[in-house]
Amino acid sequence: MRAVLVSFRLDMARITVSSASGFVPFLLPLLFAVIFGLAGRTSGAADFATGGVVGSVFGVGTILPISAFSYEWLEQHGRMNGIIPADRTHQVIGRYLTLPVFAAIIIAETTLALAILHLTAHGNLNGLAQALTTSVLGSTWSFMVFELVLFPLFYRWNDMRKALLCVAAFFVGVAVLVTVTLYLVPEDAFNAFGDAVAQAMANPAVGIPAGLGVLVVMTAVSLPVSIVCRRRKEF
Amino acid sequence: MKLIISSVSGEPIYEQIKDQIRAAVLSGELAAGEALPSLRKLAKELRISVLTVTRAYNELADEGIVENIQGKGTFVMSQGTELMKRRARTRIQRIFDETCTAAKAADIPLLDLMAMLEASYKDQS
Amino acid sequence: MTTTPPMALSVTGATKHYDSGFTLEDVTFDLPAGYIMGLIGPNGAGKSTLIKLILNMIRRDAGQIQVLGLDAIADEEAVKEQLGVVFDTSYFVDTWSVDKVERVMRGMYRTWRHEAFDGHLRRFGLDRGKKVKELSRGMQMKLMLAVALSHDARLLILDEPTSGLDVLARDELMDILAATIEDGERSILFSTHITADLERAADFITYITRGELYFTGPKDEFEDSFRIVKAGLDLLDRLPAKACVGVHHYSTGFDALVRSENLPIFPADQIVVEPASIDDIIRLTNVGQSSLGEV
Repeated sequence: MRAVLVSFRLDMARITVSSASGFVPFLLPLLFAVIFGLAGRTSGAADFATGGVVGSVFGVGTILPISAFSYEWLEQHGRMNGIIPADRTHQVIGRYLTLPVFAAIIIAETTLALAILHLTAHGNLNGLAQALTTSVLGSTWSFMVFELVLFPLFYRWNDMRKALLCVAAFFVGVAVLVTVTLYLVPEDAFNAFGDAVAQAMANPAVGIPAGLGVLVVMTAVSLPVSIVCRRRKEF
Repeated sequence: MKLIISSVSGEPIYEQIKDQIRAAVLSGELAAGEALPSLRKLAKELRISVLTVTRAYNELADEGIVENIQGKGTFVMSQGTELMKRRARTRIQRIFDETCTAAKAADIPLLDLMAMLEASYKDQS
Repeated sequence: MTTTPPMALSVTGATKHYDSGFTLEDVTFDLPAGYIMGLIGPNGAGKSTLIKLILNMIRRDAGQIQVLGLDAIADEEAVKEQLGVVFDTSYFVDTWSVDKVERVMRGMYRTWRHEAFDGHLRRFGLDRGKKVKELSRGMQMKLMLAVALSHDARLLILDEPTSGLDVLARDELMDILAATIEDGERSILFSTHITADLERAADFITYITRGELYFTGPKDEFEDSFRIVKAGLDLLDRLPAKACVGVHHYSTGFDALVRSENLPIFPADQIVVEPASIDDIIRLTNVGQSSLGEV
């Protein structure tokens, strides 16, 4: 629908910054890759390095959707959103459409960063392929899950401080969930379960449909909630 | 055509416009069949509201001095001049009636009255 | 050529209750196509609330709003295609260049007139390379106006566009607006508390005060229906209670806003009568209601 595209284009225009300084955060993971790679040469701690690099891409990636919201919040109650020929439902859908774009960006940057890591660490791209399927897909999937939880919260509380509290709450919530689970479930069983899931996911035939399935279900909940929150908002 | 509007004269702007257009038609400055400036253009140039000009044009049309032709504009009616001459005559007749009543009441003879009229007419060049 | 609906904007019984207690109550007015309407009233009267209702930025508690013959809620997207909006401050991302603003806005609308936009930029003296944040307030307003005039919008809504601008800039804007409605195809709703701007170009006035509609209709009729009466204080005591709409006392006399039809009440030899300007009318219908508080 045209209106959805209009909203999508507006959000993308808000996020793609014209000044050079906007790109700097996205160079940081590449920098980390170089640093970790150099460190890894000596200590051989490649796994840790992979985690660090992937994590940094994830962290930087979260700037993208927050930017779409924050321009709206900062610019006097989203007056631009009141002017464009797209109603609130279409505006929300348009913003959700930016998520696959961001996922693609995350995949691309993670791949690039890991390539740099391997090249810096041991001069070739051996082991990159394996790192890709596990780390890249995993981090991208986590990113999507993260945003699908955050979006309704951002639509509900239209405020940068509250948004960051939501982000913090998300991590705290996950930590609490893990702690509680560990408390209730014996560690062996938890680890066994974890290993079984990891093994199953590692098989693309299972992992990919399952991962997508979870995202679809989450979207089916997240999107309507966001729409309701946005439609209720008074500007 | 010259149109000068005063915002402080106390006379409503639409009346001023009407007066000045009537004067222009009477003097021949605006010829029969000639178009008046477009409503909106005049409003923009005089820096007044479109409705004000519309009212002036409509009232002039009601008087028969101009004609509004949908989609074309407003034109001076060929009998515009005639009409106004007739109006002027009626007004003058009324003034004469009043003058004569006043003159008789003050015992001023007709000849004196005519001399006063002649002096007045020649005075205004 | 598309047919222009007779009413550019039709508001019927618009009502909005805020939790704070402020209420916009039952506002009804029409703006015929091809004219400029000034939306006036003191600060906090409800003008911005009304504009937000038209833009569907807040929820309507009652009433109907039709823009160019379409319902403001049911046909929101079709309405906004034809709506050009100018606010008192820029709504663009301030790191965008003027050129980027065009690239963004042309993607928003079905029809985008590049040559028209270019022409406006040149006329307004806007440099494509400049970023929005580098533009002065007046230039930012002109940028919003350039956008509003470049996508075949048939109704322009300006919400306090001249606040913060000097006399020259305001005068220039009124010239631009008069030129905009010259072809009779476009209409303008102009909300302002600087009523001097409207003395010139406004055709209609809608006057809102304390959340209620006080008057709507031709501007000439508005001004004509009131007079300012000035007289000595001794006269004030002898007048019937409702003779004046609003009175401003001072030590040597008073100014009163009086409805024209009530003029005969006053003894002609004891008063000075003057025409009432829009400012006078607003001032004297809000005596004691200053936003600075009771004086």
